[in-house]
Amino acid sequence: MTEAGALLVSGLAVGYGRRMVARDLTLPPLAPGEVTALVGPNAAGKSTILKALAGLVPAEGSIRLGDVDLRALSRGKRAELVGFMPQTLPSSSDLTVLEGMMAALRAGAAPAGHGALEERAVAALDSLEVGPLALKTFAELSGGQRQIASLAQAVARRPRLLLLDEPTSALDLARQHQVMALARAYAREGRIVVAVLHDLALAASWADRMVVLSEGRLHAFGRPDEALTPGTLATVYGVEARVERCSRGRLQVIVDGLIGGAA
Amino acid sequence: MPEETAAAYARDRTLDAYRRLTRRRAALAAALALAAFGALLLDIGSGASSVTAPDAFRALVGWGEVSRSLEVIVWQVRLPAALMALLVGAALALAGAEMQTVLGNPLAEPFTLGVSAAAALGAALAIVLGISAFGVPAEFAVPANAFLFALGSLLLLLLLSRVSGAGPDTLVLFGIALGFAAQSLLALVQFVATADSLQQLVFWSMGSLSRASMTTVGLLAAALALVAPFSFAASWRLTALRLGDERARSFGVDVARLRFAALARVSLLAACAVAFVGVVGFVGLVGPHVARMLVGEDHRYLLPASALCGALAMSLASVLSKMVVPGVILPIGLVTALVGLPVFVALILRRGRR
Repeated sequence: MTEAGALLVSGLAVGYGRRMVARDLTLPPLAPGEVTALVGPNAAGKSTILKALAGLVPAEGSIRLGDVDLRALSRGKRAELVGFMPQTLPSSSDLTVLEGMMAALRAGAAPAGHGALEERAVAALDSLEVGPLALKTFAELSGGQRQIASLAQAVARRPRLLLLDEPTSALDLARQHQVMALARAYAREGRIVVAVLHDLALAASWADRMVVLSEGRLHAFGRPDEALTPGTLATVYGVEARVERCSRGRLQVIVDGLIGGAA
Repeated sequence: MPEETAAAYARDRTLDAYRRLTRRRAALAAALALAAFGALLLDIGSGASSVTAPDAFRALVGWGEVSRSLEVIVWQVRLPAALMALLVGAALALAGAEMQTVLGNPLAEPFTLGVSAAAALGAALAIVLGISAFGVPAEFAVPANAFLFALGSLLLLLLLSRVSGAGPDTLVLFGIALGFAAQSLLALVQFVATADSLQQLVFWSMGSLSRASMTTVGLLAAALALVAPFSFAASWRLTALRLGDERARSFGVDVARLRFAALARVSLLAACAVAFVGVVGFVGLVGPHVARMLVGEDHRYLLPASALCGALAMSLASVLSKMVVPGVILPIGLVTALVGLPVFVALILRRGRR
């Protein structure tokens, strides 16, 4: 399944100073058109690995997008190919959502035609159904609205690889559904979406593939029903859990207790 | 397909509104520039001497009979001081706007990182102990020392932050530590100072436009002309930084370099301002805030508007400093601090309500 244009990660080593988050991590190829969920317990290194893919933390090893070596690219070139949505929300400021989009489009790379960029920015907001927020300032937005504005900034350049760090953390159920549906639709246009998700049920219902990480190592990979097994949940999360299908065939994770009698 | 037409219509309306907003901001900046020019004229026209405004303008444009003393007062006293007020205000407010953005702190200003204390220490060394940089003529010893110490302290901070790889919060802590160190050393110098030199030092630190000459005006104008284009060129990157470090970096911005370059620009402007005029508080804090309220945070407009607000505020403060006590020009630093203080408190209250 090494399709053309897949994300290929091998021998990845990431860490802050002496504390290594991952050593020699190799992932199966992540194919265009698919949403991959990066899951794992706290401190498994999910966010750090995602940032390494975005080029935001120093990393060793090979990160390739098809035949492009991402690590060899300049910041600007990399930003054209890779979009990243941080976990933190944009801070409260007097900037408007549209100005944020314009900054996303113009801050790094050389601008090509101002008028066209403004239209692109507005169209991108529209596609996320936040067009009416365009001229509101970040100070006026709710947490959920800010998160969607942040997503809009990450997709502003229509990157081939979209990395989302906890994209639904501030969102209510309807908005979670909306964001994941948008992420999937974005992937279906032939792009790669990788999302760090905490919520296994959300990950299981929206991701095409799941990467289960534990202490910076790949523990399981595959379709949600392959990756999420009672065995994996026991080793990785330390919980006694069942994985069952609901009446509509969706995967459900039911936690019965902690392993080791600490319940 | 009526739904699509409606969406396209909404998009067009948003774009129109955005362009209107942009035009309004440009118009506001132009109005600020006009107001600053008006304040400059007012500043030249007012003063402690008996020279009236019409006389002053006559001397300025060389129209009609102009006496020698009138010419001296206008060309060598009022004009340099008034131009200096404008330039210092612009320099400090521009530096303040960049400082607030790169430190991510709305209460930052050019002197946040202990620059004023370092400059005062440099000045004190020259005034009290007669120590000055090699080859500097005696008459420039004080501003040269203040400049070197201010610039040196900021460069030291930049170096520290580079070496430690620390973020803006650590930089502020370093700055506070450095400020305290400079203040203690300043106290030490004051302790051994004679009463006469102590008085000189106190006057120096209050900030005054009366020291301005066409030479120092030219130097500050040159510094501003050197720095401002780089500031303006960094507008989009600075705007992106307001969205957060990580976000800006994901757009392809080299944040460490942006921060370093901005602090270097701030250093140069703050060092020049403090060397030529002394410590002038609050303009660098309040100018950017007022500009932000007027034109928002798109740095393409925020940076020039901040500079213009600072210039306007400083010019008006200069006028005020000549009017409070008839026949006496108060040190400009006192006026900006006294007027700035209530504005500062109001800003904090406004921020608290957010």
